Amino acid sequence: MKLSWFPVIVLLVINVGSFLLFLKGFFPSKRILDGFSDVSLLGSQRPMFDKVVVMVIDALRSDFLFSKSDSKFTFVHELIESNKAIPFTAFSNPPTVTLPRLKGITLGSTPNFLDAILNIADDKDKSQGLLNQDNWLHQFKYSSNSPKTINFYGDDTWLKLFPDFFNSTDGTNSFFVSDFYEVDNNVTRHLDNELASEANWDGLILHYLGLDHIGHKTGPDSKFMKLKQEEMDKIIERIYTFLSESSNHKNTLFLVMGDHGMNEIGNHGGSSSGETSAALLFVSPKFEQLKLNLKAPLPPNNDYNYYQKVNQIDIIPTLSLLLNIPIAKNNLGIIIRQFLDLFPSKLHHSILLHNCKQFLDLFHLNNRDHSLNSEFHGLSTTEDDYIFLRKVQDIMFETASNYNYSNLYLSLFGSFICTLAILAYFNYGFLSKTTLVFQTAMVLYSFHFHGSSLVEEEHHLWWLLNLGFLGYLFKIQNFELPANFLIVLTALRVIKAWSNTGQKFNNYYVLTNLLLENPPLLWFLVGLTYLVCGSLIYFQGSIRHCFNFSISSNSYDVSYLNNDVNNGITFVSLSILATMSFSFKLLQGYMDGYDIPEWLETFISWNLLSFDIREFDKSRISNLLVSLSNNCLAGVLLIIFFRIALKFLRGFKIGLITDLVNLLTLFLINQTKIELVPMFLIFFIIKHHFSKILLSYRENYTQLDQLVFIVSSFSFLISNLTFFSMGGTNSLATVDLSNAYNGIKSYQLEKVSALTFISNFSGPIFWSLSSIQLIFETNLVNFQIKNFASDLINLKGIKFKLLNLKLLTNLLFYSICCTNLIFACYNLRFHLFIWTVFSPKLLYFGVWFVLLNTFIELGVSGILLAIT
Amino acid sequence: MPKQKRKVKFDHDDTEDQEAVVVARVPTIIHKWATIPYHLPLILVGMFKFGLTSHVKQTLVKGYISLICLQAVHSYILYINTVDFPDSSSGKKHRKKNKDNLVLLIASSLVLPVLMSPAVLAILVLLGAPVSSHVIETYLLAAHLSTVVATPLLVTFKLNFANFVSVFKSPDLFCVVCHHQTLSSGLLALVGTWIGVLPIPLDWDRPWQAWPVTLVVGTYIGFFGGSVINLAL
Repeated sequence: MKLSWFPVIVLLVINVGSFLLFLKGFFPSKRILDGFSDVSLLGSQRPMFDKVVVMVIDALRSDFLFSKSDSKFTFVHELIESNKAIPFTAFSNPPTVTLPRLKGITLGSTPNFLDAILNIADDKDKSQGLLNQDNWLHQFKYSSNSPKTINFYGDDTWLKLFPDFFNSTDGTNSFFVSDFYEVDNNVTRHLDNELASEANWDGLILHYLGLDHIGHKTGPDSKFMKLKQEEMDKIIERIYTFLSESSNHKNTLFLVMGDHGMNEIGNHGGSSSGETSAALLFVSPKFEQLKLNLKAPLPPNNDYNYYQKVNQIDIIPTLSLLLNIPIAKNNLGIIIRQFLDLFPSKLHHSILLHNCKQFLDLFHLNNRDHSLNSEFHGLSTTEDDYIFLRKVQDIMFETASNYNYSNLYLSLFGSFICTLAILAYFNYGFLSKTTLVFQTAMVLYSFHFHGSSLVEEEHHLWWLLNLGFLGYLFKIQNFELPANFLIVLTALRVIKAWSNTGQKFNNYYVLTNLLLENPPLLWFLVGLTYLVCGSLIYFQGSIRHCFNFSISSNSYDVSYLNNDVNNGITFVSLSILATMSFSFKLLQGYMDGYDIPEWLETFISWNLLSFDIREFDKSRISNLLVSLSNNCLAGVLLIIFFRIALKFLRGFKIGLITDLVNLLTLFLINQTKIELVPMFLIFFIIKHHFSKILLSYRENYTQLDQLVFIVSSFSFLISNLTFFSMGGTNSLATVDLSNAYNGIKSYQLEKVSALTFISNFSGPIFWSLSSIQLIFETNLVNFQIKNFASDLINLKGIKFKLLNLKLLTNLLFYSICCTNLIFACYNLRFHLFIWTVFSPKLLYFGVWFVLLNTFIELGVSGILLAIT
Repeated sequence: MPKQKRKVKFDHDDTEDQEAVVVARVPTIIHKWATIPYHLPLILVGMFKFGLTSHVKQTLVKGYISLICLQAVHSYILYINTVDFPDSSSGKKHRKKNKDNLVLLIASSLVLPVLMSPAVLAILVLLGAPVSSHVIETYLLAAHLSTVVATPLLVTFKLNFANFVSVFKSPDLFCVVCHHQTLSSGLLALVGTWIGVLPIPLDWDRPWQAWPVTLVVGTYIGFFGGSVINLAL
């Protein structure tokens, strides 16, 4: 069959285009009201409170604060029982991730799904700033005659949302989750100054992250959780005692809240009752007059419902009332009823009318329906007001996302037609028993997109598919090479056990935790990985002749060169490169609080001393890390440059692809999380044995198209298994940013995005590159440089055809998945989990389809082949 | 069906070249309706009645004991309905079975799977069964699986391992397996176990979605279903 590039590229472009069009229609940008409101709720009256302390405890689920069995907040319970605090369970809208939640509790709006993505992609990105949107912090600061002083300590997400807004700040980074104490001590140490009688703040915001970290790391029931709760309780007591004793702070409102909850295993991001039930507590002695006489703590219940349930965004209008500031324009919260009773009952209706009027303005922004106008004018009692508010709130929640249906239909149609065309085109050329079996598997797999729990636990499907693939290959090879198959199977099983996979169950007994508890073993394996990777670079291809510019031979027997002095140059430069990368990982681990075994401490101090760093100096070490990482990348690129130069100047092309792929692997390892680095050892084993299997396959079958088809399938099968085994899921909560800033001093969107992609997909990228190597230089992977002549790279005429077929195979897979996924998303757009399960999956799929398939498979592989 | 087998035999007797063309030396089963393992669905229902979903381990142990007893009976039925593949050395068909020690054969067919079960456990783990938890459940699954699948095979092949291996060397492997009742049942039992894992991660929150209940169900139904479907082939 004549395979040409034109139809494949055209189909790829159309399919990617329809997918992107779907994204555009599915995630419309939200319209918001500009400007700031200037109508204070109580007019010129004196506010009930003129100062405010907001203490956000990240992931403080309602039962942590209120439940008899789980809560250690004894002081809080005393406050509730003595009527000095009003407790609530606050419903926090999904996605239950910090950034959208902070937007919710400052703006009062329901989050746009894109907020969740930007939670990851952001960082000092000015477009994130909320300075231009109406929010209660702005109102509080500027609504009185002179600007008030607001200080902030804690999670630096606030600083991204409100750049240059706070008078005194100290941000802590929220992304390194194994630190339970330092993040919080960093906040608490500021209390010494802030809780002194001469302190002159009007607003104090504290955001504690430790409890969330403990949840992520050890789950909600660990002993650390109890200790942390006691610590937090002490801080609440300390603040309360100060507020009640200091004469300056008599009118201070104290707010304790969680930004979201956590699920049974301590993660968050979704919409389960645990994740959406955050605790909320208003504290002030003034509340004694309400005489609520609540009991605390309450017996535990499974729905995390304690006391009255309110919406988390209700705190915006409530704060506006208590502080007497205008309600933020985009607020969708409703004033909490209990607090109205602090004011004379004749004022209640007029207060609520402010809330109603603000709702009406917001409603008319997106809706031309004026029927609510008359209803608004007919309001006369507080009961009516609440009914009206709830009604508008419901409408606004439902229409929070207006899909662009013409885009959706066009993309559904485009993708569907594309899939049919690709299927027809593929089967016209390559229909065989094997391809038919694989296509059936692809179609069956792609139906999983229609089930939310299958999407959440997708790794199980990949495990089954990998096993099925291996078994099928074993069968069509007539059960030859059982040892190699067994080794590959065992290696896959080890990979499967490496990390916690899936979103529902938290298994403590995974290899990651084993390694983290045995630092000597971890660092030994990391070192071994570098050693093996370095050796592979040196021995597998022909890079040892890289600096030998007198080379002119293109015969496959280059053994006469093996004793050349110039090999030493390569050896030394590779050793330096690998050592540098290892030092980088080691120092990174040292900075991030990994346990370092004793025998490596000398290595660290040697590293530090050679840069004249004599004590633990965070900023200097991070500068060193930046330069180390940059040097690694530069070193890899430099050797690649030399190797390519050698090819072009001397025509020495033996093992070029192997050399480049192996060098890039070193960079990928550099970008991988430390406890995942030893996985590459397993990858090397699989790759080696799979090459043996392929060689024997080539002896049994001569059709190259089937070979390419099998390697391509293997590539995306194992890529997916690897991705999930490296701790990836289809939830945004597991995007790992610990390697997104390698070699970068300040935030640069493009670099950070690229590094985030590489560090989260280092396994899939490795397999994608390796598959090229496995197709074209099988003998070299198998250390049989003498047989290089029989490798497919030497087939000048058809090597691009083979790459083309590989892309067609990938496209076939992705296209079937794409069509099913967008149909599922369209179909289930009113499903409960659309924002928490399907939308993140849509984004992940976009990364696989657009970045991995198009950039890496087409781009990088194409370049690799083109220079050979 | 037996006729077909004979035909195959004569074909190869003509060539007398056993090395070049590999023949699956499969024993023949007569009266297939009699050798259907009727006891398997009974045991399965019984295990559910006795609380498989609430006390997984205890019920699996109880079920295993009854399985062993009933497998012994089934083995006997299977034995009297099996015709050996003719021995190449004598070239004659053995209709009489007085050479075999029936008690020893059935006893060893029942004991061997028990001895095999650690190996089956290892294979299950290799194929993805959990290691950190549920090891006992997995072991019980391995025991059930090996007894359900291996005992009838051992009886059918009369512990002749070489004949069993010859099945895998035949060029039309799938055809041979499909047309043989015990082999196809065994295959479907393995497939059933394999498919049995699928419902576990679904969020239906049913008590039977526990490891390894669905897999045991898959094994039993697979084996029983395989032998029933084979009647039609």
